[in-house]
Amino acid sequence: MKILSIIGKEMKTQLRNISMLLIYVLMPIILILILGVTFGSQMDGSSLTLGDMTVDYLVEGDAAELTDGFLAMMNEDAFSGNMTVEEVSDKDAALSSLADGQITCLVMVNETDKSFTIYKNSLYNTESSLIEAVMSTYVARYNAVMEIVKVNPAALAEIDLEAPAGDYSSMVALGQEKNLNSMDYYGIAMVVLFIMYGILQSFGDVLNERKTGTGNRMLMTSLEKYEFFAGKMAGQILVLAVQLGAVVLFSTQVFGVSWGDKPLLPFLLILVEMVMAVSIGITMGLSLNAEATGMTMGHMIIVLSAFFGGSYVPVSQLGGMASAGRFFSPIWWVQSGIVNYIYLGEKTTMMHAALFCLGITAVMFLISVIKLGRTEGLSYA
Amino acid sequence: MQDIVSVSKLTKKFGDITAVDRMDLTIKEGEIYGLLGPNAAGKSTTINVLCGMQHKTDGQVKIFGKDIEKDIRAIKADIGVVPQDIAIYSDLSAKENVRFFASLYGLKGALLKERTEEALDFVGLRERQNDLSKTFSGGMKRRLNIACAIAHHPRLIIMDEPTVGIDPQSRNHILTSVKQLNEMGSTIIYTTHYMEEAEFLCSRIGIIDHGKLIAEGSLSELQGIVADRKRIEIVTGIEKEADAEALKRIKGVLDTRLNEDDCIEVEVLKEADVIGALVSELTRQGVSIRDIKVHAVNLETTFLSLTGRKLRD
Repeated sequence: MKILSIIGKEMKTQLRNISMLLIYVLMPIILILILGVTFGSQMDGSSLTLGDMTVDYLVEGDAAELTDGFLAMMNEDAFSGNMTVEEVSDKDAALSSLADGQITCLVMVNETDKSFTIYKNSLYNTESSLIEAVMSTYVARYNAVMEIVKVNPAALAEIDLEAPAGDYSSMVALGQEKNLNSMDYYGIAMVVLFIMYGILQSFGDVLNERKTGTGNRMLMTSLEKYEFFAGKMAGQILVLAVQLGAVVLFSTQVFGVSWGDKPLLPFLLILVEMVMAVSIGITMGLSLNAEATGMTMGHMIIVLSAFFGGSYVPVSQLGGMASAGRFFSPIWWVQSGIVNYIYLGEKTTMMHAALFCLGITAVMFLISVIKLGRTEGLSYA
Repeated sequence: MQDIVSVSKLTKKFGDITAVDRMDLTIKEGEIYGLLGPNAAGKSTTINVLCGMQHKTDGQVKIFGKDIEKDIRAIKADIGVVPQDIAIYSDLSAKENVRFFASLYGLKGALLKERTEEALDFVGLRERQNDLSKTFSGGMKRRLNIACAIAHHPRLIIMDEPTVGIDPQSRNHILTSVKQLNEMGSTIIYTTHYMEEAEFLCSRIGIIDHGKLIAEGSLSELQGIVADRKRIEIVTGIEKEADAEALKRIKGVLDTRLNEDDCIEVEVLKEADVIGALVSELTRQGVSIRDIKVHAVNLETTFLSLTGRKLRD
């Protein structure tokens, strides 16, 4: 009953704090939106949108099979719609157009020595590289046919030259049916990150109880210290759950963020992370007297965990030592655990993440118990 | 009457500092006991030990006949503490504050509701019960501070300077409330810096200094300690400072003190006629005299005589 009273009090005092609501509800939603949209093209795995391309070609010598093959390739379905192929006769004028950005690239078709030369404009780097790659494949195919003609011309009859030439290679994705898009990634990442901000919330709350004397006043009643601790833990966890529950609800409904088909285990891991964050905050609140020290420590923990945990940029984009730092980040463990479970069906990382968080929680509990046992009341010096 | 508080040889040390030194104290049921003492005299430490917030170093403390070491939880359930600093939640309403603290004493359901309303009625905050306490004036917060300590009908109420920094109207309300609580059956320990409050409220007063209880008794008993004395206050000009030691040599003068506000306090035997001699001496020193007041013995005089310090030092 007393613990329930403390929980109720925590909910009322914290959830009535408008600035806290802005930080814990509005901020993650805004960040999911901004980061999700900003990094969307890098992470979504969808097709690259190409701009309109204009390819000029100039035939050196009389047009023959190499020119025909080139034109046939350029007119294939893969490029149809947004590519214009035009023959030019003045090389200098064409290069001038290329320099001005009026064309994507210039292809010199040399029928004499059977070769291609491509002139590219750095403005259209992606598009011209794509054309270069496709042409390399075409040249390889052409050379292969020429070799066959030299060695065994009769074998050409067995090759279906009418078959579509576009499928030079095919991609097979391993293991997964679902795609992790940027909204999903940051939808999870921001919830995992803002749980860590629960450290600051819990620290501030406990320190405030000590400063204002309300903590001591609670202990002057028949309340035991363990009831105070349990009430604080449960209350702060519930406050975080309500705040970030609103974020999860909003982001799933509005941004379509996915927590998988079976979200029970991910949410359990989220709960474990909340327990860890609150235990760190309460322990700091019981141990430190200076608000500035606690806030600095808390922010350091959060920022480093976020950086190495991939909250802002996926860990795969960090290199070397920075990448190694992820093993010390609870955010990385929890996030990886959730993502691996949802998208690969793998539970091992999730188990490791839970053990990592519970280990830290156990250490924090131990420090708090020692602190509460040794301190008379909740004295604030 | 039953002893509500029984303290024997209570000692509390913080490292090398002895905050409370072998204190003996007995408070009987139904009393309003005033605990007076200057800052750092040991009042707050004594109170913290009594309400279980600090552990004694030595001695024995019994409350309601129970040992504080063994039965602290049961003892706490029957104590209400009004802390010196206002310890309420600014983001909770008056009613929510009282309900919360009352619930920590084990009250629930209809009884919790009834006692919450009763406590708010008692301190005159029923009309504002749904307002957040951060919207209250200092006096209203002080009254709410009291309401949070009394809703569970404690047998012993400890009030640590409950009227600090408030307007006279709220102060009068609180003093009347303390009397009423006592009449309703609660025993009260009241610490204050205001002599007139102690004189108005307390059936017995203990004077504490340097961690020791140096005098104890009813107001008349304490005044009797210095009944043979009176106090003369001489306001001097600012041109020259008086030589207080020279005044002490006058027959009948017991003690002198120079205050910062150009005032000499002279403690003299009640029957001695020393004013003429004091004026002569000050004139001889070249000190101008602007005012002379003679005070009868009161608690302030007693306190000064016993501790050598003013209560607010």
